[in-house]
Amino acid sequence: MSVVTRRGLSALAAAAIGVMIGAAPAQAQRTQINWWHSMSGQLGEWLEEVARRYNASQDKYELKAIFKGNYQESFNAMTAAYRAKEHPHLLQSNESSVITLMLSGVVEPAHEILEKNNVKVDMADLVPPVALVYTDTKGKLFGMPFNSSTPILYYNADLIQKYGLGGPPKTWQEMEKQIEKMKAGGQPCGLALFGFIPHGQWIDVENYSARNDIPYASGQNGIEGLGIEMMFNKTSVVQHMERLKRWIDNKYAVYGTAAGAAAGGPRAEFGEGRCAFIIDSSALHAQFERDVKPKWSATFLPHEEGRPANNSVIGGAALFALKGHAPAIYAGIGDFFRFVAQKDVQIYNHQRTGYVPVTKSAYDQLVKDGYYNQKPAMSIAIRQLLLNEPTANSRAIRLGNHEGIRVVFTEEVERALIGQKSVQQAMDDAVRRANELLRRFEQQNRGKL
Amino acid sequence: MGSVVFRRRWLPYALLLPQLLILFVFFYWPTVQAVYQSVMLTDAFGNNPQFVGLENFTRLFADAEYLESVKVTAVFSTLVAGLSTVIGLILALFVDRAVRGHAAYRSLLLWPYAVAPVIVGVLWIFLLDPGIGLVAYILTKGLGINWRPNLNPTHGLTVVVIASVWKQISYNFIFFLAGLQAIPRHLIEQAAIDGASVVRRTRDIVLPLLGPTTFFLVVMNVVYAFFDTFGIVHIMTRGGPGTATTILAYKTYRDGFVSQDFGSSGAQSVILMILVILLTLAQFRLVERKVHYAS
Repeated sequence: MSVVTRRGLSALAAAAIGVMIGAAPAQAQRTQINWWHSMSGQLGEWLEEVARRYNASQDKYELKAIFKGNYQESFNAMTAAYRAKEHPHLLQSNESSVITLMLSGVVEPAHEILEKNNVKVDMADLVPPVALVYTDTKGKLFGMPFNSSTPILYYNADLIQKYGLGGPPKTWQEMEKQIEKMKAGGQPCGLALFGFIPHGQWIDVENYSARNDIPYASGQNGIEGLGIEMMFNKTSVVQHMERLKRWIDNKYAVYGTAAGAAAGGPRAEFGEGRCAFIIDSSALHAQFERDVKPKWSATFLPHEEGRPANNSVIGGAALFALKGHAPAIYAGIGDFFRFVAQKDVQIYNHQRTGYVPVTKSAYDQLVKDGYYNQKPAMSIAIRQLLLNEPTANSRAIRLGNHEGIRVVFTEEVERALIGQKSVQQAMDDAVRRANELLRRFEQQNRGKL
Repeated sequence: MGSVVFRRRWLPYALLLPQLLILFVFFYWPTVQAVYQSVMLTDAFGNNPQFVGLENFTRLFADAEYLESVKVTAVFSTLVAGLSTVIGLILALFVDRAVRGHAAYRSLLLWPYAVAPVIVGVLWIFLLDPGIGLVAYILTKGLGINWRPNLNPTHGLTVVVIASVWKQISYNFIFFLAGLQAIPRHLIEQAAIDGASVVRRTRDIVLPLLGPTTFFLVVMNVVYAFFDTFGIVHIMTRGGPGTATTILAYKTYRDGFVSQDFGSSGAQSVILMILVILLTLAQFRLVERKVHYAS
């Protein structure tokens, strides 16, 4: 480089500045959209990839995905940011936050954004348990469905074969008999259970109730308004909790913990082959493909013998556009919603993660392509959601302070599990405390509905 | 000592200003916010504010769950403050007497203090978790204990106490060591010449002279047990099983950030703040009185 003269250098510098100036307007033309999300690990990589693909698909908007912790953490970060008027443009938020967001008035409803930007979403095409969670009382989309999952039963196929069980259990009663057989043969554990916050609650209370067509809360699980009460102390949830307690006590099941979760928890119990069954979100499909050592597959969520076996309800999240930004931002969000609604994007999301396609047409396409012939376990969740026209008990759950209710339930059910009170007493106390939370929420939102 | 006189009256204030600003932004402003929130009822966004007077407080004292949490906190902080003080003192007494390797012991015993609470929690999970922990394995296989911190309230409390004590021992240790080294040698030597044994010298000379240090440490340890153990509880037990490890600080967090009840959470913060103010006042009063004892 000794031949470079001073003049040459300054010419270079000028050229560099010229490039920067020239590039600046091109950069500025892309409107930046900040998107706070809660996907980590493999799911985080998937979401980043969605943002990358969207950015590559057009040159007007730059979607910037920012991880803000789990659903609860990002929601809290958003409320704090909102108070300071520093909130993001777009938030991925989970199903239990819908009613809080609706009543808060901080969300620009998805249907308005879609209409303004001439993006057509066929409501009839949306998978009903997905649509019902994210629509307002007039049946219009409030949040844009993004990642939806439902709990399914994953089972160790090697063990089913080894013990000659003929296939995975369809009912809880069958599962108990199968575990009995495996325990007699020396298998250390039947079912790997999560602790109840929030995963176990979602699986063994909310989805248990939907699947067996029993009410979790009055007023169609809260769809009808705020003046509702919890009902799980009067249904077979009580007997189900008694069963799980019995299973934990005689080591048919292992009970997860916060501590255990940090160390791998129930997923490791299943993945290492110690537990024969685990009920988990369908979104774990990709992770199980990588981590689970024995041969495994999945089937529908068990139900009670003699009960109708309804569709289950969803978990996961939708995209919510927050108020208070420039019109160009909402145009960008509308454009991204259009992208998300595309059939091939949904198919990609589904195949990459195990989240379900949120439209029936995407599912039909996959069936037609024969995708499920190679991956039958991937079809379980979506088929379970499309099983029947949702009933009053399996449409959606919409409770004020739902996360608080989940905490109360966990505290009380654990008091029963550790023998401080009977299961019935624990459920009665949980309902009483949950109802207090519902009244508190009603009071907080007085005059809004 | 004569007092310093500033010619310009604004100068001392100007010099204090940066510190005051920090205090205001990080301490006084949040405090005012907490007090404000404790008498209000709002949604998660602070919308729809309604003034409710002392209702948030009266609800708390009528709530069996809150009183339960007070009990848990009392047991937990007594155990944490007591154990970490005693163990810290014993270690300091030994290191003070160590002839060789004094500095090495001191450095090694100080390490845990540099570890963040959440990491402390994770470290102890790796030792105490029934699925993977080495200590848990010894407890189960070696001692035949049905070790279930997730389903036995005593075990649950034990794991968070162990982790919390472990982290705080270092703090106590270094203060006790400093206290020990401040004790005039001649007192101990005289006693030794008079034929007092090590135990006797420790009991009658060293411990009384460590009184002010001990009292200071007990207060600091209680404050630690109240607040800084949050990360340990959060990562190890989430307040469970049941509510066996739901200390007041954890309940404050949970009611605010999980249940979105900022009114109740604010009221709980205010109560905690009053407790700490009382503790600090007591400490100042007693330590001021006792500090002249030695001289």
